Amino acid sequence: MALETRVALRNAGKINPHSIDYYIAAGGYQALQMARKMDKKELIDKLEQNGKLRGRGGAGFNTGLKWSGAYNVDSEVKYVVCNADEGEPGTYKDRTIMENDPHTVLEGVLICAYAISAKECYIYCRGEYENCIALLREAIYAAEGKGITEGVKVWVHSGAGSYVCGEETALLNSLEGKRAEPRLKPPFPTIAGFKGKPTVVNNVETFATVPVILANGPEWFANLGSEKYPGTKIFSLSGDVVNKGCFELQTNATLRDVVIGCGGGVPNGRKLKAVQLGGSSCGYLTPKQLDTPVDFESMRKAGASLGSGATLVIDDSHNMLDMLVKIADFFNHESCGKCNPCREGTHQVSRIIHRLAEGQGTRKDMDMLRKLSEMMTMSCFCPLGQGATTAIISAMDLFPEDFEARLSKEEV
Amino acid sequence: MGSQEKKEEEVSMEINYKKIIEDAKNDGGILDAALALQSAEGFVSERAVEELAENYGKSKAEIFDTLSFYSMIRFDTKGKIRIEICRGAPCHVAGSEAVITAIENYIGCKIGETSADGKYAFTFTECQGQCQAAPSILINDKLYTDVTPESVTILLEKGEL
Amino acid sequence: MAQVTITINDQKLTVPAGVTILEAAEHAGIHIPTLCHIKDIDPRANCRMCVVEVEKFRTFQPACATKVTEGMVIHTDTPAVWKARKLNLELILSHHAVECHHCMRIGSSRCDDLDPYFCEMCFFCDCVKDGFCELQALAREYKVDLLPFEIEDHDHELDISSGVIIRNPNKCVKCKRCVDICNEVQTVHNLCTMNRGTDTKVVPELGKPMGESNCVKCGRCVDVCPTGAIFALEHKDEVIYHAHKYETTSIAQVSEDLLPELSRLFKMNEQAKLGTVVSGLHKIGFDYVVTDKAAKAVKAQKEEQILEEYLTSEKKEPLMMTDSIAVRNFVRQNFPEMEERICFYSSAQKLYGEMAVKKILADGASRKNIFVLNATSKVESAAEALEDENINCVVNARELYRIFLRTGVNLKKRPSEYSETLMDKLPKVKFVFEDSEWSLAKEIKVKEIRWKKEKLLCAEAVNLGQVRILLEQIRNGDCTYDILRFHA
Repeated sequence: MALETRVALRNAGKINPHSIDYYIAAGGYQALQMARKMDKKELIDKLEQNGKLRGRGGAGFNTGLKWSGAYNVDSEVKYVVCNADEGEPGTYKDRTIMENDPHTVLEGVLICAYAISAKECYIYCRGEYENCIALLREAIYAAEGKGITEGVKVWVHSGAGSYVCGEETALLNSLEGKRAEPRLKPPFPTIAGFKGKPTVVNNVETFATVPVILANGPEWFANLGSEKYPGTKIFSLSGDVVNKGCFELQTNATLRDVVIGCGGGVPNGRKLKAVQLGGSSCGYLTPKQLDTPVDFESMRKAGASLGSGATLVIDDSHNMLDMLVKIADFFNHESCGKCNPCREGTHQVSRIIHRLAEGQGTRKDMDMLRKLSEMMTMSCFCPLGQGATTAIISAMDLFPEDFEARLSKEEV
Repeated sequence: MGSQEKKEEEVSMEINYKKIIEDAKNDGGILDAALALQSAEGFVSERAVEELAENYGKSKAEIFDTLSFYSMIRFDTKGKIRIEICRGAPCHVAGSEAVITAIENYIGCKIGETSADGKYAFTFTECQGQCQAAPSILINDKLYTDVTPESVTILLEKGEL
Repeated sequence: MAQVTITINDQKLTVPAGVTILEAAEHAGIHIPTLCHIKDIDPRANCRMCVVEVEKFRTFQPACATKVTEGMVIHTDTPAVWKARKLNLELILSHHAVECHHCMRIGSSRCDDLDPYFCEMCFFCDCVKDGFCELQALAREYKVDLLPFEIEDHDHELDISSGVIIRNPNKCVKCKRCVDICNEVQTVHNLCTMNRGTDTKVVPELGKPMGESNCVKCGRCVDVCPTGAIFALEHKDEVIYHAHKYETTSIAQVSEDLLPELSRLFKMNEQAKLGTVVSGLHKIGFDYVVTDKAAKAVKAQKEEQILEEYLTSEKKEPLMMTDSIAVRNFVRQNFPEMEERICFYSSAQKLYGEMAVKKILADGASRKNIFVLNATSKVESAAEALEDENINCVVNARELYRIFLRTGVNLKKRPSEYSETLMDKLPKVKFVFEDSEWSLAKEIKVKEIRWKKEKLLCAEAVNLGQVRILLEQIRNGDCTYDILRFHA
């Protein structure tokens, strides 16, 4: 696709993911060799200041800065953890990377291990991705066989069906064999993470990008895309769109480039109603906002989020309420239950949305949704509860007619 | 009831809990071990919890506390054939509602229930990350994508699940 | 210690660095509500009642868990914070079986219309925690009235299987205090959490009824539960009935340790005198009321005997001694091979029961017409009474208070009376081990005691976690103490 610049997805479809030789032939593990010759501090600084890579999981934190946090702690034992618990609905970019090019993830992890002097790494992959878990284990075994890991141990641990494990501290608890409840921050994982030791937790796409940054030079990467959020981002398209699949674009692309340029627009003669960018925890963008640049800051200014890059295209045949029912039930089911506002709040939100969708809701119900949203965004323990009502409020603001159409007969 | 208990005992005797756990531990963590035990026995039994407790040096309460948190882990089986449809927003936009209705019509019960003859149990599952080929369903943990009301009816009729 | 300057509600304060906002506020006399918080245990920040506004933070922060830093500016009572806390409470109450004030749920009365504390004459609404429930106190503080949500069905059954520790899952607010205590402090590992989200439940071992589980009956879960979700079985009606009945000869034992709680409940400015409690029990019909002096003296005598025997013995290993049935249960479950090496002796309650029955039989009554009551706040004593045919029933300070309410006894107005005695002459004891109180600490207190020219190191385990540590030391052969006393 002409609009694409494939960095994390550079090898997708071009190499055999089962074979380390293909990866090496495509230039693989040269960045790792290069990294191992560099001074660790210098390596991290280059990533942070020259490359300016920001995490691709959704939070967008400067990766080099994160690594330097762990680097600066005086500790014999440190860990690298790869967050492959891709649970945000609509997101399948990490699966695409792992299924097509597991070695690029491994290389990124090993570079990080070198930088912070970690000897053990864990890739926490959601249990539903059995294929990816197998491919990653195969890749690790092959890399060990060729001496590439140089004594660093890398394990792949399976999840077992819990979206909240996408949150880094919940993931760490799960990795430690506990309930996946999030932890208080501070202390941040880079200071006290896995088993209380300094730990870097990064997303699959982030790790997949690191080798290329080193190989091509951090300045090359910083020059791609937008200034404050440089490089490329993978968008996973779904819904009412002609071309479904993953597309990697420079971060100064617009939403139009993603949805129309790569996605081919809405099929069957229908009109575009909304785009949900970033998954079920993010709000909607309208057709009027198609020319918004996709980078982190621009999206935030537009009142939306880049998030994971999941791009759900919605045409005008849908009443938003029907989708919101699924979203509300999703958060209710995935709430870990630790804190009251999320555990009880997601439950009541789900009840109210069901009533509204089934034609039995009132304006009072809609007011209550706003009240709950306001409280949950401020009081919940972790981003799951804080983001659970974002889509609902966004839909209420942008598509009030969908709600009006289903209000209880007494209200109208 | 008596003969069913005996059958369960026989199954328990055939399962080498310790080996399954040790093999899983080589590559992964406690969830890998629990899922492997679940594959062998159909669900995670009390015996499996005891074995995990012994192996990991934790109490049964701690193991149960952890395992009961996760949706992929079951402590019993309802229905011989478990149908799970993805609840994700992308699957919804792609038409999962029509598939739900088709399944409900075929098995004779609503989603969230077990069919009267005990053969089917139909529930939601969360986003499987196969959104490019939505809607998707799992039947006894096997994934099917690009499902339509027609194709799912044929799948259920065929019965090779 | 380094100090930092912070501002709470426009008040500048200087506090030690690293304290939490909650600690700093408490010190300055500023009230921040809490529900899941227990002192001495790492904060969980589950309930989100203690949320406060901290400048430069995007979301509200939990005061119990947020450590202060130099220049922090905190607002504990803004309208936004108040609204958030109230809505939080409304959410909790929608999932809680509110039995303390039916009238509130039916939707008639506002908090202010009710008796400010509760209706003394109406016993229709009857939760065992009515008047001391932390959730109820918060609901009053935040003026929660009609609940704006669909009330959840309360279809969990009461678990009465243990006979003493009763669970009502419909009232659980999932603060997890009981789970933390049972696992981290007592290390019994019975209570655990099951499922997640809305389906979260606190259950005994793998979801079994309490009576079939690993519960050792230490009763500490009851002590920490903020609501009526876990409580000790009450016997109010039984007590009042037998106290009244002419054919029954009734005897009650009271102890000084009831007084702080009773005085608080009766809203007395000074601590009540034990004599008023004696008088109250006489009034409702108890024939004999004794203090625990005699039972404690006999127990001390026994402990002295044990000490003597040990000192004249070979002393192959440290002396391990306990009068607690919860410790006995704990040992049977976790260190069964050590049971016979531990010296189990009768608790003060057991001794009281024996002496009480003996005394009344000596007066000519028949056993089936004797009612023996012990008033003590230890839930473990209630469990012990189940196994003891001499004790009919145990009540704690709160239950005694509720009994007094129903029978018109006002401690403020009672005269002080003398108690009867179980023994004419108390045994002389030269050495007495000090009483110990349950604590959540991990560190075991060790004291040097001198007895007949011998210096002995005595380690006092005040919770089951400490008991476990000491027993493991014995098992590994590296215990350096001479005497180990175990309490649950």
